[in-house]
Amino acid sequence: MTKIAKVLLIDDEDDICSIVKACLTALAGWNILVEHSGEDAVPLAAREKPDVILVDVMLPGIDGIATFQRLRDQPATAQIPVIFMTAKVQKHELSRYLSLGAAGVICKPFDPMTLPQQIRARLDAAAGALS
Amino acid sequence: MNLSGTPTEMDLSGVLTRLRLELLARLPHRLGELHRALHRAQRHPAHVHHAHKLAHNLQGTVGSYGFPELAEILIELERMLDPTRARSDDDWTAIRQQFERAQQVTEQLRQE
Repeated sequence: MTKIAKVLLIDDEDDICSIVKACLTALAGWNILVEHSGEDAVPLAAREKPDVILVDVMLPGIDGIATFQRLRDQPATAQIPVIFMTAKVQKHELSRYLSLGAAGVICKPFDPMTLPQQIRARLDAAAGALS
Repeated sequence: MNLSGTPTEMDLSGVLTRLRLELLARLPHRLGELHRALHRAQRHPAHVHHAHKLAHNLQGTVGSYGFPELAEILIELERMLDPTRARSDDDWTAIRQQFERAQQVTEQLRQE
């Protein structure tokens, strides 16, 4: 099982950040860092080196896909697993995100009570696919 | 809360109840923002992207907070605002009706 202690959440919706932070802290005991834009999140990720990054696709400024590419382009964050969180998932979009190299996709709306399991499942599946 | 000030599993349900009530209190403001964006989008089609983004964000949020009926209405509204297609006057009438449904359900949730 993938070890998780620190998670970076990138989402411009304050209400989503609040519920994700509350649930992941309480249910899993993870330390949750929050950023509202891709521009600010990329340098934060390089400094903090979280175990996993959750990124919304429809971010203002640089979107989630471009944020993902910037994370992949800098050595300090290139290996950190990234999970897209989005309310916009059609089959071809899901395939596209995975083909970019994302560890997985979590659809909004999500069940906050099972969010830690959903994150673990995607990381374990991605790790299994690599081994 | 534990000594570090973070919620534990024991008091998560209280935290979630508080977050849901806070969201319900803010929903009229969020819908007002969406209403203004719909007005602008009807007059200037280039602004439909903003209205679409507001509907998209709101449906993901209310669904994740456990308000599925409102989320379904907003999902349909988001679909009706697809920025890649043109809209007729009839489409805008349907959009306004869908928005009014969202307002009605929000009011019901706030009174429960």
